[in-house]
Amino acid sequence: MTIFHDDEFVEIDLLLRRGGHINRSNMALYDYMCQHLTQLKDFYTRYGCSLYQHPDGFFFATVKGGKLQTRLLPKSCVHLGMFIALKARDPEITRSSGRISVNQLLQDIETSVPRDILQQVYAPKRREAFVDECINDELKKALKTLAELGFIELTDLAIRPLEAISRFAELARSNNGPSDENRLNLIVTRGVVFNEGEDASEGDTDE
Amino acid sequence: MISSVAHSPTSILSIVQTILEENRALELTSRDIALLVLMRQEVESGDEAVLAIPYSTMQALHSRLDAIEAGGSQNPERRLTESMARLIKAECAAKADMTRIRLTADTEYQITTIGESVAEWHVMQSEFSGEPLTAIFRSFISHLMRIVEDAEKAQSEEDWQSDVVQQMQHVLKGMLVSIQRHQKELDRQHAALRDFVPMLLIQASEDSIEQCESQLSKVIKTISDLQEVVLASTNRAQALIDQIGNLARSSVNANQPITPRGIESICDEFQRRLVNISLWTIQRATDWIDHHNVVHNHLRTVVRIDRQRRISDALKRSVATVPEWTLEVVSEPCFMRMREDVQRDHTPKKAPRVRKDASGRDREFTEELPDNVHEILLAHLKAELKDGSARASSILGKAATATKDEVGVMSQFSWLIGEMTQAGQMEDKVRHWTQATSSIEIEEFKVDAK
Repeated sequence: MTIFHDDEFVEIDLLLRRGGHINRSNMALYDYMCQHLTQLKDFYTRYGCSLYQHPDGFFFATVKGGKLQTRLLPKSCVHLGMFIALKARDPEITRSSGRISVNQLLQDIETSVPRDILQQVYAPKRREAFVDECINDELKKALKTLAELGFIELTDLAIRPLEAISRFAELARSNNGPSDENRLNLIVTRGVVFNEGEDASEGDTDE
Repeated sequence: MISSVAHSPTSILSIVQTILEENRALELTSRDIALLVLMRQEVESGDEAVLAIPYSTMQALHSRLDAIEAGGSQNPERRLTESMARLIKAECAAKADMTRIRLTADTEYQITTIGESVAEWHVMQSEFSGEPLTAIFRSFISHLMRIVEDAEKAQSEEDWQSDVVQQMQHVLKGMLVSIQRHQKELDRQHAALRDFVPMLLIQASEDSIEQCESQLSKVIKTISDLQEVVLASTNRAQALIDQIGNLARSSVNANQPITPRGIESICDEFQRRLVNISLWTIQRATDWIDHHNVVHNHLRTVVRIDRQRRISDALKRSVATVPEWTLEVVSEPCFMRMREDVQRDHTPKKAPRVRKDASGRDREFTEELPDNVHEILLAHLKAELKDGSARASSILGKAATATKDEVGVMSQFSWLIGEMTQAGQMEDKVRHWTQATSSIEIEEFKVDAK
């Protein structure tokens, strides 16, 4: 029985090709992934892709030397992703059934992150007069990107962090200072790219 | 038991008018209501023959309020007097002794019917027995089943009224009161649980986790209770109500000329209330399930794994710096659309017309010459040549009079010269300035007929 005739395969394929994650929040696709993981892994290996199930449950694909194009997430997305991952670990999130109001999130990030860091991440090389506006715009843009990639669910008023948000806590698991072995593991199996001093955040790379 | 007195619409209106004219109001503070509840309890727990409460007892009851309410012990006498004044004004309490002048210490108070009802309502509201929603519905369904049996036996309009319609009204009222009380309590419990769980999770000790898990298991009971209501009980109740409605309709066909009065409206009311209860139940079940899943996930993925909060602390540190790493994600371009019927039209767009700014310019209005001005001039030329010679001043003057456009006609002077030279013999000597019209002077041009 081939998987290529299934509607679920088409949806999963499109999601993975756009860098998306398959979380438990989409139970139909998640169940399909669990059922056909071996076949799907074989299929994507031919593209030079590796399909992984993260210990937190969700599925994602990484590309190393493959035939598919890739891109690096901008700094703003990584920073905001880490901040949401932090908020998702706060017990207070259970009070609102796992949702965070967008306004609250924007307010929290502005109060808990130093302004110079916010400026460097969200509004680099911008004139002082436009910094606040730029930060706000960039935060909203980053939220949209994170939602498109399946890290969060985004509505007009609130976000809901999904399991995939824990990808932004990968370095924190090794106390922000991974050993060489751990570093290699993160690069190969988790799609982590270390900047090594260069600014790789804005560029797209083709494999 | 107080029997209900039926008022005619006119008498009801007069009562309403009196209430409005006298500005009657029921203005009570929370302390007043609390005092009423204590007064009622005092009357009920004491000797049956004693209905009045002496002032000393009132003081004791009031001091109990002060003990419960933090910071409420300032000037208790005055506060008691004010409370009693409000209760008497609202007719919730009355002085029992009927004498107008008496020492305050000797005054006796009694609780009125309205005061008793207010106190009773609050006592009833707080009496949540913890009965599950399923139990409420089970009792409701058993009542409905008895009503169905009565409906099957009903032979006359009176039977329907006494055994079915009135019973249904009573059962509906009872069910609604129970359900509303349950809903309020359930919402209160959920709000309390939402506040309680984060406190437990913050502690992250083994005890607090166990407590949290036991709370979650209670939540599962609540969820199953809510789902039972949605899945089984409301369906069963609706089926019974449909059955009563069908019986009413079949009785019309069999031996009754008209539908039993009020049966359809009460059935509709039942259905409407049941739908509302179902919707409420579904929404609350979803809320409880969401909350349960989130807490369960938090326990499983955060609290159990990161008891010391090392990951959270590391994340806190990392958001305070510019990230020096990123994630590489697949970013395959979208598939190309190869269908011919959706090919784009590649005809270049015309450049948009730019409106010229004419605001700074003065507008000039020019009058158009009549189309036949040349014909007029030629006609005058021919007419004058017939007489032997033609003068430009004369021709232009006549044409200007005919067209009433001096300037326009004069602008054709050069054209006229051309026509005149072709039509006649130019006379060189005539070159003097001549008045063509009253305001225009031209250099004369004369031709003689050939």
